Amino acid sequence: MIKRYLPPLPQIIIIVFIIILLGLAIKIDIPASSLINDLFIRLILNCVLVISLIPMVNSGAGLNFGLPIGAVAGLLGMVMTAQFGGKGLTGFILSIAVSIPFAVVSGAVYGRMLNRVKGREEIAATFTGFSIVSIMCLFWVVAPFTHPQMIWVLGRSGLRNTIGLRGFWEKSLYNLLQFKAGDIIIPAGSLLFIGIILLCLYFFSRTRTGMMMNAAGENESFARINGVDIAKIRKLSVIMSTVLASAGTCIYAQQYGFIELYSAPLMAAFPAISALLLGGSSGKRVFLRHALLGVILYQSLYLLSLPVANMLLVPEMAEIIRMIVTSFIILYALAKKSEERGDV
Amino acid sequence: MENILEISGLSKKFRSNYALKDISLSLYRGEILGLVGANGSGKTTLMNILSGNPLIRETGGFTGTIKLNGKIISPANPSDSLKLGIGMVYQEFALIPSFTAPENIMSGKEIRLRPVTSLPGLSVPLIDRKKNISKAESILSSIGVTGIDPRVPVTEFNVSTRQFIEFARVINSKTLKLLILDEPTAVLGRDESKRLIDEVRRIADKGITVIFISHRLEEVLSLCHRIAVLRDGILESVFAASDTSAEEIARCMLGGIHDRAIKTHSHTSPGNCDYFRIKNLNSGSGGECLKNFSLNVSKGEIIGITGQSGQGQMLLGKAVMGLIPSDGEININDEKILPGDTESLFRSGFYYIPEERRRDGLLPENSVAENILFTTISTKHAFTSRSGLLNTVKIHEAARKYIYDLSIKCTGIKQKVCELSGGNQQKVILSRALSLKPEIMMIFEPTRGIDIGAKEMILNMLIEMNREMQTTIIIVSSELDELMRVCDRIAVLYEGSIFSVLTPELPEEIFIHAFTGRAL
Repeated sequence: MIKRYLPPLPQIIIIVFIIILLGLAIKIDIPASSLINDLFIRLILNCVLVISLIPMVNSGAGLNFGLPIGAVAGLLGMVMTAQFGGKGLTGFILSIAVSIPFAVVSGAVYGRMLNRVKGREEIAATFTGFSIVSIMCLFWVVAPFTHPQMIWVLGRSGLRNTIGLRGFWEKSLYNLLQFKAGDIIIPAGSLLFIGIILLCLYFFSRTRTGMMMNAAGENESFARINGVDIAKIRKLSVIMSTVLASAGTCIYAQQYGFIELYSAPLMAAFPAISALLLGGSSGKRVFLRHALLGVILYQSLYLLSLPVANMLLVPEMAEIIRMIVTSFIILYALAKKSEERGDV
Repeated sequence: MENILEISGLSKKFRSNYALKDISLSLYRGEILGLVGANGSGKTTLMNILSGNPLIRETGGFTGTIKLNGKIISPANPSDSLKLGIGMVYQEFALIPSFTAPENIMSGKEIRLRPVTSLPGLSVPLIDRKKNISKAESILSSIGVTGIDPRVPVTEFNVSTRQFIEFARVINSKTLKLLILDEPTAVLGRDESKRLIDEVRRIADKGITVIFISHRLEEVLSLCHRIAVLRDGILESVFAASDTSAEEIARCMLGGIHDRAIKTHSHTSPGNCDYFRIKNLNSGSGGECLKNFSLNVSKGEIIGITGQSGQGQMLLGKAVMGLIPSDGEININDEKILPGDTESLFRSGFYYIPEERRRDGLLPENSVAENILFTTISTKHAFTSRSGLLNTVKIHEAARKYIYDLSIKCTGIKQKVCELSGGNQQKVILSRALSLKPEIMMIFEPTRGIDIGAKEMILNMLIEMNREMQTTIIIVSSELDELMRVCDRIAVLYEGSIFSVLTPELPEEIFIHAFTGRAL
């Protein structure tokens, strides 16, 4: 009975780890206000990417290891908006709007493919993501973009590896409605924006389609004999996840200040997935609170480990520990999922 | 005569349910015992205990004693029991698919060459392929199987050949004392069955004791010396094959026909049987099949479908819903619908309640309310407000009404349905059907695994649904006595198609004959 009320093992480990790190951070005099400010920034960077995983998990299509597909759609939207001179908040909103059609189309194709590889979605998705990123590497080189801030200085063609968004819409959402409370910067506009996305997803789960989607993930044979078109609903969830991933990428770039092309989106899925799993989802049913808790835990881990490790250990240690933790969480959750399915 | 196997006071519990209760049975050397019983009667559990299936230990072991040759045994795994001399031929073959026939037959018992190295702890004997193949071939030819290519993996062979290879694998043991055959003839044709049966007889003559599980009663009667009947985990009785009949065994298996009075079920006589029609439905899965299954049902009747287990009845719903590959045609109200076209089926008011309610019939982690009203929402767009959001207040109101009407025992509408008892879960499923108000409903084993009180209540509900909503109901059940009380007509399935359609007023002898595929 006690077992029921305890959070799952990875969460306990991470919470203990964070407490230790927090203690160390206080000991080496890192100001709390800067920690909180950084946490807000990291939340804005990653939150929507993590949330984007939810529809697919709930429809039974698995963890979206193909998140780079959505990311690529987002990148396309952004470079096109930049090419045509989008600036400021309008530019940012426009970049999301332009990326949506790409995300919908690629999501539909991707969804069809995932329906074909039922039961092995995750590995198929990983490699689909990898291939799309590689194919797009070719595209970025030959794409007919001409904006001088975006193309290579030498050669006069092909997009740069990293496109600075200064002069376009760098931090336009972050600066929106931003105010200060003492030393703490509150990015109200960003939080509001993310809040609206969360609210939309919440209301979606209270609709008929949302209910059917959750049923498809929880018990597919039940859903099928109770009037749910599994293939269709799964495809819809993949489209939703891809659209959200593309929007998440736009938000990320806006906050970060750079559009990163070429192989940058390759590993985009992994931190998002471990954050989600960290929130307590076993990879079968996720609630928004799982995603939020996960992203907060995961990002505070990042945030604290870096300065602390820099002070106390060799700087590279932080990165290594993070890699170990990220991979361990994914492995643990996947193993737990097979156990539930009765494979082990 | 010398007793080889003695089982006394054997019980096995799964959670709080007895799968086997106080079984005592002894078998003498060279005896062939037929073991029969309906699905879920405990046959498989008994065989799992004898063959050392690890599942038994994992679920808490068993009580009672099993003596083999006078020694108490408790095999922990199949190789344990094989060493003790118990061999089992499984219903779903235990062959290694990518191995050849000789490799499978000789697996674990390979003839080896002298070890290459003789370092202590590092002896690596090579397998003598040629000798293994010739040994395997001699075993196969001894059971009348010849011409098997020793290079071809077993997956390439047809199902009956694989059955014989499996058989050869198990009898290839010098210590074999007890041979267990789980439905060995289910996948075989008439001639092959006969060959296998002859072989079993020969093995028994050599002094090996055989337990033969089959649903084909004629076969059991002709082969076995004695026949043990299991029902609901209890050893109902043991007949000597020489002085019993298929009818007597069938009656004993189904049980309880005499126990309860048959209520006369006043109904309008069946109409012209053209409301719901299934034409030439073919399907197969897990050793069962439907062959050119056709059924005509008239509006507003309750029709029962029954038969011995394994005749294809359990596939019917899955085949209609397209959960397993199937072909054929369905007609509802003169609209032609293909199997698996769930959208049209729902539009015509068809609803299917599966046999496995925990697996297919519920959303275990969701609330009682959601489980009751899911299908009404998903197929009829009910309880949806104009904004597209679900109207939670109305959903809860409706769910409360069903919980009250059917007296579903739960802590509230928000309780997770997996926390309810089996009978209450069945009531949740029925409330779902009630709220959906289907025109025609196909329900599988509505009373399986629930207590008597709940059984009667559910049967009454079905009758009420039929009377008040004019729902046409197809009940597929192995409980003949229940069908006789609620149905207008009862169709008996035999080997994948309907053998005869009978009325419940007929004497039970006719039913029992029909069960074994014979008309009186």
